Amino acid sequence: MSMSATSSAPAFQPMTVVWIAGIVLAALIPWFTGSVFHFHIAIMVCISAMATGGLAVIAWVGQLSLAHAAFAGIGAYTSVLLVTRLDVPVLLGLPAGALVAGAVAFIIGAPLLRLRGVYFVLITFALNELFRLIMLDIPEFSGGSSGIAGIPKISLFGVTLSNYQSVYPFALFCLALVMGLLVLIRRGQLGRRFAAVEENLALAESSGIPTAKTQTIAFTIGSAIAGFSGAFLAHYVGFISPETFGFQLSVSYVIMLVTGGRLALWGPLVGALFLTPLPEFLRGAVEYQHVIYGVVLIAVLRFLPRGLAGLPRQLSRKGGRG
Amino acid sequence: MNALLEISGLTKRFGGLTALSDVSFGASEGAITGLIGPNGAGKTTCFNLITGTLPATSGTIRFRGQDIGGLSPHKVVEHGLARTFQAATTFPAATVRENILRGALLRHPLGLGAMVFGGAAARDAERKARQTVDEVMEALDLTEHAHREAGTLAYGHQKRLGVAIGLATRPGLLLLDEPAAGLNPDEVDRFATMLKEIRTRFGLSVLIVEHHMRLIMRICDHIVVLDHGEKIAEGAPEAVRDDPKVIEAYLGADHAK
Amino acid sequence: MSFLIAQSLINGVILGTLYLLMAIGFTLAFGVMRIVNFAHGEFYMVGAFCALIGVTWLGLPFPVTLALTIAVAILLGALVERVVFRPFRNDELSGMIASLGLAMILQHGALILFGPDPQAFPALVSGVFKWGALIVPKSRALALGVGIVILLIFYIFLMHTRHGRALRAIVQDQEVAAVFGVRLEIMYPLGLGLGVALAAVAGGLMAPLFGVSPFIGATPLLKAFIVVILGGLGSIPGAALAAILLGLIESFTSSFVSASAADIVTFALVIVVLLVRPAGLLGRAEA
Repeated sequence: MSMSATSSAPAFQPMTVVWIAGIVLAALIPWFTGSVFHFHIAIMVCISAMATGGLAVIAWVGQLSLAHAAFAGIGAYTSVLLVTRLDVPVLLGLPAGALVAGAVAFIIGAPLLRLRGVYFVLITFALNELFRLIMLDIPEFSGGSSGIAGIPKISLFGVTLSNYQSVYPFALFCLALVMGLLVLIRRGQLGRRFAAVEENLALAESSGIPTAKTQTIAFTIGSAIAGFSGAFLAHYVGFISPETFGFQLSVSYVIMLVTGGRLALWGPLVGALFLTPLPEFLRGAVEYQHVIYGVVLIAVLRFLPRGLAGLPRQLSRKGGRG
Repeated sequence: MNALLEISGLTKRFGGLTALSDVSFGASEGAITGLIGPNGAGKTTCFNLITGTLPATSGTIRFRGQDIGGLSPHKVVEHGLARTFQAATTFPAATVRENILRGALLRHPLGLGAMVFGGAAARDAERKARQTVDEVMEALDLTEHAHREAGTLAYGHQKRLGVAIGLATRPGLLLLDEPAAGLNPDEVDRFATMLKEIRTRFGLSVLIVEHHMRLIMRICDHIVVLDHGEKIAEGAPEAVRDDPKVIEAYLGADHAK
Repeated sequence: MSFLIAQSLINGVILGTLYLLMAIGFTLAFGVMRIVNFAHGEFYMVGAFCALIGVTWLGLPFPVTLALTIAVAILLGALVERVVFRPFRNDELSGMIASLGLAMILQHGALILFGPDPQAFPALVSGVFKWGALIVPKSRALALGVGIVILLIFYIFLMHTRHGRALRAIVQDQEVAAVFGVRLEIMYPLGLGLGVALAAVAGGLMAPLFGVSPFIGATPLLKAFIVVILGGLGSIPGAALAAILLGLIESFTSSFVSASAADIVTFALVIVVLLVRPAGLLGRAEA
């Protein structure tokens, strides 16, 4: 995994090195085993980690979005429609998906973000449903309930990434870009503002931080990343429908985020890495996998409030902030 | 004395309830002005109107001659009017130093690009802000706790950190909302001394809401008394203390006679 | 035309009653414990399976089955409160996320036990009531009747018993209620248990009409969600008004426009209400 963005940064904590080493090793697994199936799982991990990374940016200002799948859907449909109807290259369709999803988030962000806590969760839940219903109602664009199949594969400068082995490096590259952006945000002034808003909104505002604008920025960036991941997913899987981007997908992003660590920089990656392979390896018993998801989620909430990424820290200083 | 903050005809209605009715007063440059009154007198509402947390129903708020009514709180701070809170005074998960830095960075604004990608401008801003942080920490005797997480500090220290964050925004006028509530007598004394020190050192004016009468009488140059949303008295501490209307408001009519 | 209006009216009231059964438990969980319970629809599903097991496997009469369903549901609710929700009492967001996990466990647990295929429920009654051109199938009338009776019993419990008053006191102000001796460690499981029981009863009542499968909880959850937002989170009178309103809106829009239009309109309404009046149509604004 290309981690140059972070490894050049100073002041490394030993724990971070361990995390990065572990993640790089995990990223190499498909090449060791050579299994096509492992390549597929690794690609799915990358896509989920990107989407969850977007959700994390929103969580950094203290908001939990259940409309994340809808923004992934906006990105997916934008890219697919551009590519199939207007012959735009996929390489432009992907960022266009991010751009449109981000623009929608920017426009609707201000009124939505006045709500906080469970009220924000509820309105984003309603928005995700509204997105699904509207898309089902405009089959001439969305393909209706039968969806759009045969979506063109990703191609880079005329070379089509036709097999798993060739998609994977590009997926890793995109994930590295997203994680690089997260690292930059987290370490810069914007991340400082995000944290201030998350910890104490009223105090942040009174300290001169424009909290409404700050939240809108987080929501826009996070949702744009969701749009990018959705577009990637569409061109990788080759099929989308309004149902693809329903409530369940939003919930699975939330589960990955919470399991990995809501506020941890590496939380999204850890969560996706831990939870994405689970269904794939339990192919024969998908029901058990979801029960396990549920149990893991509740157990993490209860016993690891900082998520898996916070586990080492929690172990090293027992009884930290709950 | 120059009026730094001028409030005139300030009124706030919540539905049918009038929380503040036609209140006018001023806070002078360099002075400590006290805003007192029984519970429900409208002190906190008044604070929230001045800082832009709530929109006023009518009336004007002028700071250094400029109308700041209707501005959002983060804009009001930029004009040089900072506030502290009664409770939840800190960013609990951040260190003391980081808490104060978040206030200090107000005076070193950056574009969105520099905020994400860093660069020389961002480094310069942070370096300058850190100087303010050191100064404020020293003045409020928080230096030894610089690396503690704010949420783990003792209650008195958290309240002091709240003042430090406000101070770091380099205000002309600092609004303190019950800074002594919950402090023990020693801590109150210490706070009074500290407040007078930082006023001189930072060229500060202060508007303070407080229930602790001894503290108010000791530190204030000028006192405004609210009752049931109306101003009932204003003047020097001794004058206000002996005003029958004030005694009545606090103790009931029987005691005033 | 007037017959279509009357028919829509009756259908709307039937829908509204079902929605109200679902919504009360949802809003009670929020009012009492500040939990937005995304697992609420799964309790409807559990109730439907309880009824199925009682009637077809054990051969019990429907009223007995319904009573057993209520008992099972109250116990399940109390258990869930203890095991899943109690640790998150002062943390609305974590409680809500935990309910997402609980929903997955219940739904896919049912999938493991019963498989994905819809199961037929034997009809309890057949035939229709006819008044002129108006037609109400007897099965629907039965569900409506029993639903109303259960709502009335619940209303009497809430208004005229000690525990009912205690529950209302908690919804009003938890701290004050605790000061006046309301025992939260009893009222929390009771509140959730009753809410779960109402959802389960709704499931049991509707099972003969709509069939039973592990996936039937999603729609009732959505409806409860809509009703509770419109009525104001935690408000029972608000839920009552909104439930009947939603039933009527859906019934009339699907008679006169289309079903998908009804869905879009209601969700748009939910978003508008959340933006303009987060406390709901009847709710009081939170500080």
